[in-house]
Amino acid sequence: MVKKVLVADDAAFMRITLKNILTKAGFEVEEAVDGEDAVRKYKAVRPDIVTMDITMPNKDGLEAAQEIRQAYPDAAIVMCTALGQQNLVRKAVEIGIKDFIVKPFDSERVVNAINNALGQ
Amino acid sequence: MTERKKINLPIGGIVVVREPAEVATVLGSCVSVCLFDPGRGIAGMNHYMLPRPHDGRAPSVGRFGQTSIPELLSRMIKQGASVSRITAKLFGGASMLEKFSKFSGISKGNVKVAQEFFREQGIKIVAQDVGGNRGRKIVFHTDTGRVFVRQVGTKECL
Amino acid sequence: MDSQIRQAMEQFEAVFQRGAAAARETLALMMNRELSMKVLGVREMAFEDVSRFRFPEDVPVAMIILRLSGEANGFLAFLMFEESAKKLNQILWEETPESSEVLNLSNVSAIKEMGNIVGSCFLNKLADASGVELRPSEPIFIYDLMAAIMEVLMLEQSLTSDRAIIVDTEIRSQEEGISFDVLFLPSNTLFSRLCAGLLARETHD
Repeated sequence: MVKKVLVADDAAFMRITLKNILTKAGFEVEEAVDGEDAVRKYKAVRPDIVTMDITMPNKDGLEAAQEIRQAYPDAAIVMCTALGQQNLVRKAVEIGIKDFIVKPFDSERVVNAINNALGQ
Repeated sequence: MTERKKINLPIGGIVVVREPAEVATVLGSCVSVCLFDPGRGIAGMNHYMLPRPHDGRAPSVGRFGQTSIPELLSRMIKQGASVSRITAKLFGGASMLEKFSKFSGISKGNVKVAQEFFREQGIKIVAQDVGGNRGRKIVFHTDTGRVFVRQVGTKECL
Repeated sequence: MDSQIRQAMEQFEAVFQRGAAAARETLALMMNRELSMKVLGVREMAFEDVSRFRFPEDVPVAMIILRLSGEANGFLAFLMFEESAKKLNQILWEETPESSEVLNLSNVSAIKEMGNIVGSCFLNKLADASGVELRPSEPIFIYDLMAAIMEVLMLEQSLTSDRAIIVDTEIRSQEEGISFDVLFLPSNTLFSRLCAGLLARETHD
């Protein structure tokens, strides 16, 4: 069965880039443009996994990830952000994030991270 | 062709001249007031950042409209200009990057402080190019009172 | 100058150098091109000088700005002429030269994101070395007169200070004719916090 990925990032450039990578790797892709949209779309679409940027308007990615994880404790989320700061990685781990990818990334890194998070 | 002295006015600056000059400055949310007494050939200009001091102190007269505009007028009068002849032109007060700034409404406040002051003084504002969301370069020709305004993509003369 | 402050500023520059190295690698990866990068040091100057720093004040520049907010605020800004913005955009989107327009909103997303990623290289190194969390805003793109933009950025700083602190980094791709500056403009409070954090930790990468 085709796995569904929700890509949450406020930058159209990043959403397009990730969508290209993930579609080529055989995933179905949905997009969210900010933290609130990510939470809303998660509830509506119930993706298998989320790639979440941190710096976004209308709720940042860590807040959105926490909200999703509280409502859906099995939610698989991979952070995908430019902010590779130790304290933020710590916060993400506390929330229960599966992986923390720092931009820029290559296609292999992202696809491997998602496959590992999905337990494949 | 008139030879004009070129003067660049920085933020917080106040200048009064009695000779032909081109006084130039670049404005974002700041406002410049251009005053002109055609009878005496006296002109003045300022460039202020904020309407009034934050906490009652005014470390720099030129930085605040509330102190800069009266100072400009006072210097012109000292040079022999007359309130009854002086006209004013206002420029600037653009709302740029407002979501970045803690101080939304600063640009409008900068324009308002000038308008209120000139109303109280009975000085006519004969032209203004204020507001919008783009920066302005203005060049004030102090012998004619004309002001040239340039924005990215446009050119105007007021 | 107080020897502690001098020591903090030296450490600050050293961390910024490491951030610049990471930024250079990152951007070279994103652009698939060779780049040179040079940190020109920490400077202190009057606000009116910031308005014409490196670029003439009445010239239009393209700027990508990350705002650092909270108690200790400041900005990280990428400044370039329109030509460089167009070329950089083109490379990032891999578009043909004719179709690249700076002010076309769908295209600006690429250089904005570049600003976000490369800017974060500096901020991440600084944050880890000082222990101060640095959370930038999403990037904003603006194309306008240099001094007009800088005066808005300086507005908050101007309430508590007459002078600005700038860290300037120059980035060049000779071959592509691309050149831009990265300016880090911390408020005095942020600069003090960062220096204090650096001195306290004295970490080495």
